[in-house]
Amino acid sequence: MEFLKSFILGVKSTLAVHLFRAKVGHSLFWVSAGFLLLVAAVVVSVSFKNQWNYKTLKPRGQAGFNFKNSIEMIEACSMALGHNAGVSAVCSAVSGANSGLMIQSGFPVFTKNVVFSVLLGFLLPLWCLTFAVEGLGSEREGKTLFWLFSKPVPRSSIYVGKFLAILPWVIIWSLGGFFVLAVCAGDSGIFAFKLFWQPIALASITYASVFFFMGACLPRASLIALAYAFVVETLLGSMPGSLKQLSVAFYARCIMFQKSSDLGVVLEQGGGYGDFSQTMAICFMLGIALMFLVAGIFFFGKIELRGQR
Amino acid sequence: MIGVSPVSTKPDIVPLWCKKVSKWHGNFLGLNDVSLELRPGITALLGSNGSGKSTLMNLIAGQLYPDTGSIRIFGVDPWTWRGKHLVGYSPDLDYFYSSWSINDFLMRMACLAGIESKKVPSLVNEILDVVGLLSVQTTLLRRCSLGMRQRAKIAHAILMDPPLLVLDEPFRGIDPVGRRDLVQLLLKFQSSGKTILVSSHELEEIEKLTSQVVMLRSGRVVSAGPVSRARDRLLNKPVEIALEIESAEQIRFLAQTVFNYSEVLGVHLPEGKAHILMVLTRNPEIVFSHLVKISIENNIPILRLEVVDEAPAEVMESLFQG
Amino acid sequence: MAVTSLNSFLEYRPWRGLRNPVWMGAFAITRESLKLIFTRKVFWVVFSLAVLNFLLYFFGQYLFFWVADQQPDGLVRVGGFGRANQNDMMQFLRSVLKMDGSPETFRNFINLQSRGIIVLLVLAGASLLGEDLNQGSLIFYQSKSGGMRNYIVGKFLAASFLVHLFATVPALFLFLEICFIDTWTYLLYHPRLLFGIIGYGFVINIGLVSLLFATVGFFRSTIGLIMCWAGVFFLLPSLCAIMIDRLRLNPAFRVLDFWYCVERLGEKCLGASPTLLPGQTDHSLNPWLAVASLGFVFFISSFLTIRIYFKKGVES
Repeated sequence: MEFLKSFILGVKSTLAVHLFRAKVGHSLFWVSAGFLLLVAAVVVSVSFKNQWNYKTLKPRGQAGFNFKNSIEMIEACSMALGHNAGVSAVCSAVSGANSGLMIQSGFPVFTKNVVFSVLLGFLLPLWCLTFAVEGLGSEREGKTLFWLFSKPVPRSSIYVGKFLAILPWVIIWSLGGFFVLAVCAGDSGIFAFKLFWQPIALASITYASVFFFMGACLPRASLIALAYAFVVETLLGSMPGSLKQLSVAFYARCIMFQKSSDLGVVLEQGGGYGDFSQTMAICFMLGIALMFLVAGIFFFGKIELRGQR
Repeated sequence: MIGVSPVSTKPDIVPLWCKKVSKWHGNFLGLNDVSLELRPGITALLGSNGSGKSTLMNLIAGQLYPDTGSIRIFGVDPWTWRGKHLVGYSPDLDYFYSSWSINDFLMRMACLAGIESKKVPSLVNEILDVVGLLSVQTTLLRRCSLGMRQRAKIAHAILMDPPLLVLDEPFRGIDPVGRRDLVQLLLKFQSSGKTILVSSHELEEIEKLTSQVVMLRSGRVVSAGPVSRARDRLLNKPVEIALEIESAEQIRFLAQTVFNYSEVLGVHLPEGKAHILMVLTRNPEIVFSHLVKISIENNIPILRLEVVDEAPAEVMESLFQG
Repeated sequence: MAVTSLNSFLEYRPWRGLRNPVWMGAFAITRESLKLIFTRKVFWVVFSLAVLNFLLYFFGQYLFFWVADQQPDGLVRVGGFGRANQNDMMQFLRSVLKMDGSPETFRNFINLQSRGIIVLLVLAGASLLGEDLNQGSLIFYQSKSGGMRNYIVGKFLAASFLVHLFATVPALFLFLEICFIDTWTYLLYHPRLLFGIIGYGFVINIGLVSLLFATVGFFRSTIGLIMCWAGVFFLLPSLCAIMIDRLRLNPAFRVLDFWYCVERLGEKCLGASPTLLPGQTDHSLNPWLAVASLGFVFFISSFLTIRIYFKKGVES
């Protein structure tokens, strides 16, 4: 009972300490913001040219003949064969369906090119890393951890309090970044945001837990976290085969894949994203987050402050 | 009142009880089999740089965990959160939340220490007044001078009003007036029944504070008790001085001359080293001056002069020169 | 003794030897920073990879000319593996590996080597430059008579040395090798290659080192450096790939991809014909746009470098 009381006290006051010292000025924050701006600018320029669709997409290996041409060709056929009412009806039905598909194709094109690759594979890990590693990592590197450790509150409460303090930042920043990109992409982007905000939020919580653990318990945490982000999440996550199941992004992609499959859109052929059901993927992600949280509490409780002679 | 005593069997009632505590820093043995027991009052912890003072203090304050042995503060392990209630620690580190003011810092720390939020402002004001920072409490910590930061650390240590205070180099960087105030403050704490462990290189202040001294050397307690006892033990241990002289003929002459002085306990010529003369003494300083005199008068150049058994010399340095 | 007042003030006894000119101090800084880099493990890892790549090209060239010397249309004995058709081997070396002493050989070689330089600079660049800013040791350089000018020049030379050690020098060796095993007419037929190699080396030199100076000065830590360079060398190319190769926007957008611009300029220097990477649909970036991209990076970086090192250096 006494433990619980001081645990709650520790969580509460660590939260307060963190909110009080939170500063937005560190340079990694600006790099993250810069990346968001850059990608947003690219998305805007694509939307400006109205290219979020299959219009210019070519079938593989056929030079000079794209989706738009094919629709025009079918229309031309229907003109040429105009005297036969049956053929004409079929042709206009096909071309109408194709044009409709082309207009609706913004969602899969945006999802494939921005959400699946750039956002999940690069931006999201980096954003979460920026905030999560800072949580206790900056206290470790700034050697201010002593002030927290000399207080009569359990170590676990300091860990949990700090984690709760960074969590809102991570979620707000990742969902906010996603929202900015979605708005830049127009209607199809907003549709994608409405469909995918849950897996993105879940992935950012999991990333936060993993990177927070690294920041709290590992020496040279930022380097290790960056190596993890680039090697495991970006490189392994985009490789074919089952090795990518090691990455957190894989499970987020699984959820997204199935959410869009329910709408009849297959985002990627043969990526293995259908192997895990949505519930399973959610459980996996939450499990990873919980595992790292528990491991963090365990190892954080054993940290000794060395290097002060 | 005995400040330092050999380990008794009842750890529950003494303010600090250490038994066979060792701590490794990687391959380096920072603290070696230290047993210690403190009673209320001020005890000074002396030792040269790297002798394990800060390691011992970190262990007592629960920032490090002993590799072997155990530490109890009124029967509570300082590593646990309960133990942190009982010890106020002012470390020898100079890292702060640099964007906070002194007042912010103490307020936040008081909240974290579990003091009721209503009482915090008045308590912080009181403590700031005690350490003499009341007029500068809104200064940012990164703009503070070393002395101000030192006082802020002491304020932090006494925040929870703990029965045991561990102060690592509290006099460092404080001006003479501040030192006098701090000595007065510590004496006041002593009279209110607290146990205080202070490490410092400022022997003048230590002498004003206490006569109870624990001396560490290479991670071992070499002496514990009143300062006079330590001094006796050190002075009574003979020191060996090695002299290197150019010509072998002069060595025997020098040996005879030196032996005439009463401070010299013995001389001998080590085999196989033709140019070396060893002189055994309890009072190296006086022998040194004699040697200089002999060397000049008889024109015997001394090429090298070395204290062979460095141990007492080093401890003496830490005791006498700081 | 004729000693100026300043000297006698600074020294407890006058210096009797000859003094080097002040600007020679830059070389001392170069030497010391290179020593620092040579003590890093990451340098030797990257260096050995670069040496392996060099050996691959070295013996690849050798093999090519050796195969070319064999009887036409005959079978060539390949170690213990049996015999291979000479034409097939020539075809393979020429068009797949491009190890035929053409401009493409050197372009591919230098492109590969420069990947190594990027990895090296990103991991060890902070210890080359950023530590001084971080730990406040800049003041030692500022207090010397050469001042920050010497510091900048010295560090620039050190970083440039690394670039040329990895790219230009081995490429020149390769060139020399071909001159030896072919005939010296090779030099007469390809004088442009010689200058192209040096030119490409300097393009990489200017691009990477100026970027290094600005990013290290701005972020001061390996972490910031890695993140920023990941943006430049990973995010920008993939964004350009999405925009141009998948969504068919104007190929001029490639100007955003700094490293592509550098490689394009190198290609122009060597006179190599462009080849498409897998998935790439367009390879026609106006070289002047590439020059503009490099120039933009260079000027922004120089501006930042001067601002950071000359104005703000002491404060931290």
